[in-house]
Order: sequence, then C-alpha cells, then structure tokens
Amino acid sequence: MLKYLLIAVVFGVFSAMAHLDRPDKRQSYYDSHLAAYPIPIVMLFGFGDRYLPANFNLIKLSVTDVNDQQNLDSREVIHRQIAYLQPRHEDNYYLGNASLSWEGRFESAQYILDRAADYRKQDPWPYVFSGLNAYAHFDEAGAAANFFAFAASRADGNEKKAFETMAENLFARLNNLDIAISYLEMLSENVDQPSLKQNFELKIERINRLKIIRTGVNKYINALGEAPPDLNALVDSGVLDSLPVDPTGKGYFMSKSGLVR
Amino acid sequence: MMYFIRYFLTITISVKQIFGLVVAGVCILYIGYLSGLFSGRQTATVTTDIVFSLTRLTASIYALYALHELLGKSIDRKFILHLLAFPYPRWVVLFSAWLSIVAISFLFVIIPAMLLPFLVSATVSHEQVIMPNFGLEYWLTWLLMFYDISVVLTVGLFFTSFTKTPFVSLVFGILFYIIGHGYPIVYDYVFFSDFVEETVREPLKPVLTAISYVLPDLDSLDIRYSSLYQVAIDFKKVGYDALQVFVFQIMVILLAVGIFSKRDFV
Repeated sequence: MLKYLLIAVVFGVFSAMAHLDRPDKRQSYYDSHLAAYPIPIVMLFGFGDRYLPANFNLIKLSVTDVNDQQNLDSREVIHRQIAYLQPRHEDNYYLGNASLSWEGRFESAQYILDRAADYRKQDPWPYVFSGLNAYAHFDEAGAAANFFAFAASRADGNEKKAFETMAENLFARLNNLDIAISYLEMLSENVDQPSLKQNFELKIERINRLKIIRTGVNKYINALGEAPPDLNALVDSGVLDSLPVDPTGKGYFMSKSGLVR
Repeated sequence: MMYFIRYFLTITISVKQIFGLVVAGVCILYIGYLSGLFSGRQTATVTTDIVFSLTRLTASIYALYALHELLGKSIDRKFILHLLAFPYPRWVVLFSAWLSIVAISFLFVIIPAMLLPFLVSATVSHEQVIMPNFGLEYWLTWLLMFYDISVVLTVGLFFTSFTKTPFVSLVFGILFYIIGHGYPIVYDYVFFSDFVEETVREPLKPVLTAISYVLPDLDSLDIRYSSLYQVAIDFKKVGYDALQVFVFQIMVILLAVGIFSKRDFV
C-alpha cells in the first residue's frame, strides 16, 4: 500500500510542477544547453520509436528560449530531424518555420514545410507559410502565388476564397511589406509562448521602420532622380530626421538598385 | 496445454497484478495528457501519440520481465523440472508460458486503449486541422501493436530457451525491440537521405544490410499515422509486412521449441 501511496505522491508533485510552471518560467531550463544528436543516437534514446523522440524533442524546443542565438544551430538541426522522422507533426512545421525563417535559415524552414506539405495532404497551411516566406523574404511573388494556389486547392469555404484572392493579387504586389506584417501578426496571435510573441512583435516593429526607410528612399529618388548612395544620405539630404534603428539589432541594408532590406 | 496455461495464468494474474496494470495504464494516460499540454497546435494528437508509444514500450518490457520471472527463473532455480515431469511434450510448457504472457500483455494494452478516447474527448476542447480518428484505424493500430509485443516476446522466448542466465532474455529482448523498430529508419536515413556523407555511409553499409536481412521490420507494424492523421491504410502493404513478421515469428518459435526440447536442465 505504501508503494502505491509513494507513486501517487511522486505523480502528484510532478503534476503540480507541470501546472504551476508557466511557459515564461520554463525558459531558464534550456538556456544555452540545447544539444542536437545524430538520428541514430536519437533513435536509440527513443527506444527505436520514430514518434517518441519527435514528440519529446518538440517539448524540449517549446521550452527553449527562441531568442537565444547560441541555440539556433541546434534548434535548426532538431527541427529538421523531426521533419524527417515525423513530417506530419503540426507543431514542428509551425514552430520550425516561425523560428527559422525569420532567422534567415530559409533552406531548413523550406525543408520542414515541404515535408509537411507532402505528408499532410489535407492541410493547406504548409503551402501558405511557403508562399508567405517566398513573398516576404525573397519578393518572389510568382512563387508565392503558386504556393497560395496549392493551398487553395486543399482548403474550402472562406479559407479557399482567401487563398485564391491572395494568389491572384500577389503578382501585382511586389515589395509590399504589409503582407509580411499581417503574416507576423497572425503568427503572434497563434502562439502562447511570451518570448516567441515578443520576438514576433520585434520583427513587426522592424518591418514598420523598414517601411519608413523605403518611403524615404522613394522620396529621395523623386527629389534627386537617383537612388541614395547609402542610408545616411537620407538624413543628410533632410528626407528623414533620423535613421530608424532596427529593434532586432540586425540593421538595414540597401542594394545598388536602392531596395532596402 | 490448457492445464499449463491455467497454471501460468494463476501464478501471474492476481488482484494485485491487475491493480498494477490499471495503475500503469492510468500513469501512461496521465503522461500522455501532460505531454499534450505542451503542444500548441495538436494537443489531442500528441496525447494519443505519446500513449501509443509508451504503452507499446512498457507493455513490451513488462512482457519480457514476466517471461523472465515466469520461465527464466523457473529454469534457473530448477522449478522447471517439476513442470516437465508432467506427461506432456516440452513445447507445450514453452508455448503455454508464451500464450499466458501474451494474454497478460493484452490486459496491459486494452486498458489505455479503451480509456484514451474518453481522455481526449474530455480534455481537448479546441478543433485541430487534423483530429485523431478513434474508429477502425485506431483499433487496427492497437491490434498491430499488440501483435508487435507478441513478436518481441517471441524473441525473448527464444533467448530463454537456451540461456543459462535468466536476465539475458530480458536484455536481448529489449535490444531486439530497439533495433527491430529503429533500424528501418536508420537504414533509410543512411542510404536515402541527403544528410549523410559518403564517408560515413560506406562503413555502415554492411552492418545495416546484414541487420535488414536478419531482423523483421517492426516499424512497418506501426500504423498509428492512420489514426493520428487520418491517412488511409494501404492494406496490401501492411498485410505483406505483417506476413513477413509472422514468418519470422514462426521460425523463431520453432527454433525455440527445438532448442528447449533438447535442452539438459540438470
């Protein structure tokens, strides 16, 4: 009887910890200690089961600080491994794309989305995210339109109409940052983790400031008939009072054609 | 044979034992529920997935442990001589022990299998893009998992038939569980994915190829994707894979019976 009482107490304590420990307090557990192992080792830890390590690794990732750059490489590897072992996992493509694409890890983000799109035949969202990535990060409106068309073929009702409309309008919307902001706002609304939410808000602010700079560049070109030599020229010429600072710390860069990123 | 089955069941199944199985089943469901809470997008699927994984793992280890307790220790302590004194062929004793543990494993599996749909419907209120299906696919998944456990137990029985150290069957049974489920994934990863370099691939080739010829693909018996993500089952492929595993199982049982029948226990 004492043995069962002990088991009940252990599970009671475990349960209380799980319920009392809110996501914002969990971050410190994995701060800069996220390790990624090769797949054969992962399989060994999971007793040969492909599903068990996928699930437990995602739990591990969900309690990891997404803003910690030290863990970025490990997070990338783990998300890719989960996409390989269990490509149908919805949390993986959602979290993986959200955290990797905005850190510039486009190849991995696309690999995860491609695997999800291949294996989740009823789900339009991997294509939607692929389309938004293509448009927001690469300005490839044509590719994005194709992705939205694929997404529409898997959706129904209002969702289908929305994806079709987006696909139709994308060709006419080159360099429009509003779609990227809408995308980030949608992602931010759908996550519970405060650090991830904060991360999205920072990126939204970054894009809002980028819009100010792009507007300034357009004014400069209209006034002087040529693209500014660098971003400081916007302040020197009086088009902008001051150059907006990137809140994410990455900074803004201008190409020779005058497109600011 | 019924005498031995009744005998083995009597010494393994008790009120305490059944209570233990219920506690284990409830604990697995509880871990599944807690794990599901970490999922932002598919709580019901993660809960179901974890319960599938943990039930198969713990039921397999439990079955191997029961075999170790029931037959391994009987052989080690010479109690087996008492059973062999009955006027029945030796294979009847061996097969009865196997059948008894398979029956107990069924109890282990059926408790979480029956309670899981209620747990999910009671705890998950929001809609997912793809909800788990608790219909025919769900029960077929459990059926094949139960069969999977019986295959692992068969390999444990094979080791019990000749080993002089009872613990060996437990250890090698677990090893078979890990390798049998894991090698198809590692095989695909090494030979067909872009992640592995040629320099790593070459030395692994003979080892993995040899394993693929000797061991059955237990991963092919895992059709939980049909229940978790509403994917249609390819009955032809699953049937063919199950048949391959069945042939392996029959061969291992015959081998175990052959060794056990000629073994000197004195």
